[in-house]
Amino acid sequence: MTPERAREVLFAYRPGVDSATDPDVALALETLKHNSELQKWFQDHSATQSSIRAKFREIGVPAGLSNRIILQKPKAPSRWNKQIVWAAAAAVILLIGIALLIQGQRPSYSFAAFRQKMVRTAMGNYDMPLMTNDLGAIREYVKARNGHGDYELTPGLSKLQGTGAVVFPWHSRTVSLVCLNAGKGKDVFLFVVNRKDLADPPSGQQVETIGKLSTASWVQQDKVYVLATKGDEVFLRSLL
Amino acid sequence: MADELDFESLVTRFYKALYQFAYSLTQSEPDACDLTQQTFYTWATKGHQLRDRSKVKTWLFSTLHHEFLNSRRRHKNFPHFELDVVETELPVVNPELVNRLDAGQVVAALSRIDEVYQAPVALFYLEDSSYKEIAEVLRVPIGTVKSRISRGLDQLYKQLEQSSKSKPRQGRSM
Repeated sequence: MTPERAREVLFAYRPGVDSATDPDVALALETLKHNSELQKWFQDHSATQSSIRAKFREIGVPAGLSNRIILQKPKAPSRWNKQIVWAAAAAVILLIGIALLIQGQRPSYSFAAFRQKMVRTAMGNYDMPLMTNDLGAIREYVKARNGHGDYELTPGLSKLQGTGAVVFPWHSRTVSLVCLNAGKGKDVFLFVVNRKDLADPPSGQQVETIGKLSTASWVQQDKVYVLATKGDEVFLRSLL
Repeated sequence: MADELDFESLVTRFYKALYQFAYSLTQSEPDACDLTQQTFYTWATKGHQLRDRSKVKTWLFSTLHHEFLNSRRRHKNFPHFELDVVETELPVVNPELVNRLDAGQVVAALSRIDEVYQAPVALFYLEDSSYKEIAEVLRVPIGTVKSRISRGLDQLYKQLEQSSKSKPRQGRSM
């Protein structure tokens, strides 16, 4: 490497900062070793560089600047957003936990209370959103409203025409009501509720008159069925 | 690094160097203060986007330089010289000559060189940053940084020589 080229390479070289392993730098430094004039130049150049560096680092900083910066720090939106998101998530989790706790501790209702309430429902005024005699449509409707779409009709009920259906809440439980027409003005009401929603589901088939209605109740798989209709017990049993 | 710890410790660690860099670019104390404060403001609001925390220093200097360019609203396409195609003789400046100058005169000399060389030369002297780090700060290729520093030093030396021939400045201390 010529001395001129070595000067060019070493002109912007900072000993101790820049890598001496760069091929050009290494070669320039090697050239330096064998050229006293170049050595003198590099010595002066390095001293000049140090002086300039020192001057730059003498630039005074206004007093109190760091404090002003710290005091004027904005509230980082990202940080707050994160905190809000986390707080919201924690609140949701807490609410879900409380809800689950409440659900887990909610009072269990007796089968008798359920049956009593269903009879009063049948005897009273209620809305029947779906009015149809199509049993298939009734099942689809109940299923679509998160009711008990997989309810099973007894052989006697399967012969009847449909009237309509409604899905409604009872103490936060879901009850499905399938209405059927037994002819001669006799309406048949079949209530379905999940077995786990009752504290004491009937152990076998129970036939009982509640108020003006005859009722038959039974458990099939995971559901409790209450059948209610006007008429005597003989007619009721014919539907089972 | 925790965010709160980050901010105060980062300010303590870097505000001086950032201010000196800003002053080298602006030659104005209020402007340099504004740039420094703006840089930390940007860090406080956007710093969380920096995933590689080892790049904080580069990020701060780069942000300050970017803010400076934005404030100047200069979007020139600067010529790109390589040292070996610049036909000038390398200047020689005596260290005693530099010692007779104060920091303000050195910064003033820097302000008289082509603007495209000012930031790389300032970083070259202010921070012991590698060429790679300077390239990251300025967002230019490392080869460009090398040539700009060499060219900038060349111009700075000439300006320092001129400064030494002029009267010492009065009434201003750094």
